[in-house]
Amino acid sequence: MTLPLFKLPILVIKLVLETMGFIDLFVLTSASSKTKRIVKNLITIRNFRMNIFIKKEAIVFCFQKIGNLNYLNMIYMEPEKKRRDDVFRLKIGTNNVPSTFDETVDNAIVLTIYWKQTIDHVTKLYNTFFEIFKTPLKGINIDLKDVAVETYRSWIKWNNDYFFDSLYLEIVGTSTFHDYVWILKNVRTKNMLFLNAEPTDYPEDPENNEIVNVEAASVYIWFGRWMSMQQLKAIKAESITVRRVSSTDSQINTFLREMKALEVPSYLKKLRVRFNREANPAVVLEGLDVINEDLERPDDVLNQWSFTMASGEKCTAIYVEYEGDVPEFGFEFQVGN
Amino acid sequence: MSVENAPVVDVDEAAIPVEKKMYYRFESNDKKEFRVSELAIQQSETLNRLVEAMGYTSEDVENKPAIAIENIDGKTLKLVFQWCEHHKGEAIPVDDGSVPKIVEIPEFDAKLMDIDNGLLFKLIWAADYLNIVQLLNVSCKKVANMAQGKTPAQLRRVYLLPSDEEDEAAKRAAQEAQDPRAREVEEEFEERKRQGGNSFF
Repeated sequence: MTLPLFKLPILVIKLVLETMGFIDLFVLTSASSKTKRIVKNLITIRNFRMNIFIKKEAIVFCFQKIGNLNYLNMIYMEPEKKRRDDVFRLKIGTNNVPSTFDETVDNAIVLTIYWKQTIDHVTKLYNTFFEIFKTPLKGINIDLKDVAVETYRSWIKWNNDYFFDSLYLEIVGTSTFHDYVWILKNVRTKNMLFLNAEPTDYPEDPENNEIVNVEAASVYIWFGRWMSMQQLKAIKAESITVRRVSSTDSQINTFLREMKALEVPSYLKKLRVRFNREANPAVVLEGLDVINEDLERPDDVLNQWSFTMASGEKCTAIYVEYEGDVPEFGFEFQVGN
Repeated sequence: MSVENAPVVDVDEAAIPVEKKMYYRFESNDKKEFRVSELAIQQSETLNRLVEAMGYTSEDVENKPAIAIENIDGKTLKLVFQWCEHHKGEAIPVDDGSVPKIVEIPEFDAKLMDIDNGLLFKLIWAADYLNIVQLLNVSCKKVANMAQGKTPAQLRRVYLLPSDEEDEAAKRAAQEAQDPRAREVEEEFEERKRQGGNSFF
């Protein structure tokens, strides 16, 4: 059954192309130079973002509709050794790269491209997608699981070079504490850094750790047992969330006193410090001249206070018990009114 | 063809308020006549504007000739009006601006479009000409769905797309078909360029 697509009126061709998914559009651009030119000229992708998931098994380019997480189009890049027999060729740059279609458990079709997973190839593939779709990159997720150290270091450098200003960078999986510190020292991202990777070992005393400067608009550290309050001070971000910290109430209090004493407005506007124990708010807030605001606290908050910083800014503090399988408590500080 | 013998589009009369039960008569380019409800016509921006401009009364509809739609045949127009009658009263969809567009094909539409691609092609032309937004959306989605899971070579076959080689061959053929005197001048110009001259003269 055939239908002469290019004999339809131009605006109808545009509509047909606009109702195709990313995979079909991408494959269509390999049909001929003319179809590629038409897709590029007629189609302007709107309200979609690209995420890149990098892991050992595959690099996944995921096109997602803004505000509709259920609409996904995924293109996998897998190592050549996984290549099947029933491949067809897609034109990527000057290369004809073997590819297949696969079906997911929920009957969605995904495209798999078999290409050696070098930084050069990933960059070429990204550039090809960007040339056709011009879809902004939302963020990158790097999974360290079972990946050679040199390999994921090259991914992080790639992120730094090409995607410093993407909306987020998330790092998951596990690494030794030594490599974890390397990541902290070397990662560069402008907006949100989610360091959710778990160190496989921890130093005995967090107070003796090397202090690493980290800078991003927002920093989230899932496994913060290694962190000292001095390290927390070395994070330059508007928003910091640290979970599973091992600092004592007294150490947190020292940090807060120093933060309160700052005479210039703090760049830190939101701080969440979470731990797997109950805290003693009297110790944490000692000497901060807090005003009890329990009458104003939201229902899901245990206690609320406020205090005035030396800069004149108001800081609101709440003590929260978080829901989850493991008991978790924490303080959240919001600077400003 | 008389109105009595004309193909009649199924009408859900219960859905139409009595005071708005107004019908129009249309004729395809192969002289097939259709009676279509006023509410169904509202799905087509082109026809809706046309009947508004004509300002027909019920008597006019019966006494004057059927409105001719000269570039759509009866088989296609029947599908168009079946679709309009089924979807009458539904709001014309507003585009949220997202691309790719997420278009679902309802069961009725899927059955209606279970036709050969030649007729689908005509249906799309008709939906475009009559400016029936949602029919155009679903019919274009049906064409877009033909691409699912197809390789570049299969896409060329499905959509009758020439390959680069065929495009190149067609271009060469077009050049060869042009005026031989012009070709002679071009060849002479190329020869002069090879010999180092910049200008033809």
